[in-house]
Amino acid sequence: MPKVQKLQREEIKSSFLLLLPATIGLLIFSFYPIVSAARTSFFDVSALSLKYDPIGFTNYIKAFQDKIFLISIGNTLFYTIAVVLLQILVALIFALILKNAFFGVGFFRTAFFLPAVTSLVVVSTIWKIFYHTDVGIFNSVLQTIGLAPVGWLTDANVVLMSIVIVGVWKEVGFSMLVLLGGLNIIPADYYEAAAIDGASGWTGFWKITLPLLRRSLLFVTVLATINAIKVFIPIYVITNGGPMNSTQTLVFNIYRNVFGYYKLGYGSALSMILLLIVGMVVGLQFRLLRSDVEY
Amino acid sequence: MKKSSLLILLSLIIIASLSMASCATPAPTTAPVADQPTKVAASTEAPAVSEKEVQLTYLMQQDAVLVPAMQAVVDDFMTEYPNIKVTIDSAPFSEYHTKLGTSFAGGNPPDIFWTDIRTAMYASQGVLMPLDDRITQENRDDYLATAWNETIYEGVTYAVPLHQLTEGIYVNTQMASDAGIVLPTNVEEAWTWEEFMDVAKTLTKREGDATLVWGFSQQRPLQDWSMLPLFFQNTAETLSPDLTEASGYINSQAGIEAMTFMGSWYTTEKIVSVETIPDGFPNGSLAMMQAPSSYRPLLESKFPDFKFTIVPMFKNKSCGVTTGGWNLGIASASKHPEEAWILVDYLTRTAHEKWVTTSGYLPARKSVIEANPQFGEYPWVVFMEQLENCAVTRPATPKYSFYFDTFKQMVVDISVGGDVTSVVNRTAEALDAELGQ
Repeated sequence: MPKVQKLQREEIKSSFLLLLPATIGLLIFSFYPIVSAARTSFFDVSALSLKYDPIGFTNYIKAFQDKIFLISIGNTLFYTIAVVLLQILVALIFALILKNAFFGVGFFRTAFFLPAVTSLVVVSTIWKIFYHTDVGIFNSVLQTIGLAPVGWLTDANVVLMSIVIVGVWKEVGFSMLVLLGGLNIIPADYYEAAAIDGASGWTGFWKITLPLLRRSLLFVTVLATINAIKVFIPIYVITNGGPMNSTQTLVFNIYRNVFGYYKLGYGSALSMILLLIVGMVVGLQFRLLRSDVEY
Repeated sequence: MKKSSLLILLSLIIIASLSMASCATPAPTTAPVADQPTKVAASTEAPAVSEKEVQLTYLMQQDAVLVPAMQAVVDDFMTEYPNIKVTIDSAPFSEYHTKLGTSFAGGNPPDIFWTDIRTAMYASQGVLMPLDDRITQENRDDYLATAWNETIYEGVTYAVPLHQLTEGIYVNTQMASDAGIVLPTNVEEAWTWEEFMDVAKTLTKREGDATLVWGFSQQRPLQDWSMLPLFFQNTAETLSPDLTEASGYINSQAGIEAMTFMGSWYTTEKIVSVETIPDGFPNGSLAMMQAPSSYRPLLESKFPDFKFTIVPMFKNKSCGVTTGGWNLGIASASKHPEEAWILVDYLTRTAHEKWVTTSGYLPARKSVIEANPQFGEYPWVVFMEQLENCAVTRPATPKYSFYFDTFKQMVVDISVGGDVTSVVNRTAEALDAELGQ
């Protein structure tokens, strides 16, 4: 018995030692900035002078009276819902197709994954050129087939969807790869047994594939949601928040306040609200997509 | 067990010190303006310099022409002052102020930096060194009066003008000639709004829904620098004289008219593309381009075979063109203010002529203008005449970044078809709320 206890103690010690470097990194580079931002949000601070003037909850009250901030919440939620739904749907379709072995499957898997490892700044610049009303490829195609050009970046009703397309295109490959991994570990016996019982492919998908894919789906949904809520680069490079504030998003608004107007305290308050929103959404997803199935 | 207790203790100490650090009130990296001792230097004469080697950092705008031109001038300086070493750092204009602001926030600003209309913003935050004691009256009087407009905040001078800048209209010579367009040569002959619109419509070429050549464009599109002339030309202002109110100014009848005229470029007359076309002017997709004098050396170096003619800006009730440019400021946190001032004085006085002739910017010193007959000849004269008769400075508010973004949003929204009156009223409301604080 004492031998077991000693072993357990050794194991705990080793685990602790192994976790220590990552914990220190997290404390310094993640938790400290969060605590610091939380504290700064209760001050009126200019990023230039760094003079701290305590103002209590004023920054938070101001945030909910700020029309641009409220618009940015709405736009961010729309963007997040659209990107996450489309991304997972497209990724699932691709994963189901590419799960099968056929000639050239490796090429397609690589090709779909490629955007995930490219620089978003470069990609956004290229998409901006594609979307150009006069010289962009999309409108050239539309005009060639006799359709009217679309104001991809100038029509306030269209522009956020243009950014959604960029977001989906960029991230769908990664989600596809995770779902592909999830599909590949579902035992083939289940499908065989279902087939013997007369289940169709469609029934197999709903009754076997989808329930057993919940963990992978939870993982990609949470990651896609966090990425989508934090959308910044395509907005900064392609639209700068316009036109008509139609692409003002939370992180872009924070960036503009901190780095444009040097409002460090106000920007910190907005960051805390963002943290709260991300926490709530991810918490909800964990609850809805939780899976206790073991196989 | 002892070792694990030690590790736990170590972790607790780290956590505690991090929390303490976050709770402590950070000391400002820069002292308030009033606390900054301003040493008087013998500015106009050769200042006494210590023999000890001093390293200065210098931040400027990145540009294919500007950086080599400035490096040549700084090299001359380092030959004359071998103990002062200057390291030039640069950033493209779109990232320049973010980089500068971040350097202040990080407590590591450059000793000397380019500052534009945002001088008031930096000065109001105490990060710029007051320079009144260093600038002699003789030095001050040698500048064109408008040159100081961007450098003064609450009566104190915080920067020295490096040059001046105005805009003209660059016209594709071949296209204008083919269309039989007579080009104005001076402000007196400048196109009126109506004449300009006729010229731009003539030069615009369409085929079905596609536009092959746009009549007009701007090098700095959809922002205050390019669009404020419309207000000036229609005798409108965007802000009250104390720069705290926009209602009744930007949305005055004259202001609405100016923005309605601008909106028609994009919506009804379609002479300007809402989205920029990179290198569209030298490549023949744009017939005319509103751009500053510094655009000429860029065009000449990148497209040596392209033929263009520069004409004055259009006018309406009066002529009007934005002026300004870069100024040199010294960070109040600089550890070498004396040497920094020597460099500022050298660049703005000794090297002024060399700088403006190589950079394409306009001279700000009367002595340099008088000593160089070339500034009275084409193409310089197009800009110099406007600088003398039509130049207006942007509003030097300490909240200029907000003004800039809000103004930009207004012109972008109008360019995509937003209702002019409601967009301008909304802009006035937003500016009032922020500038009035």
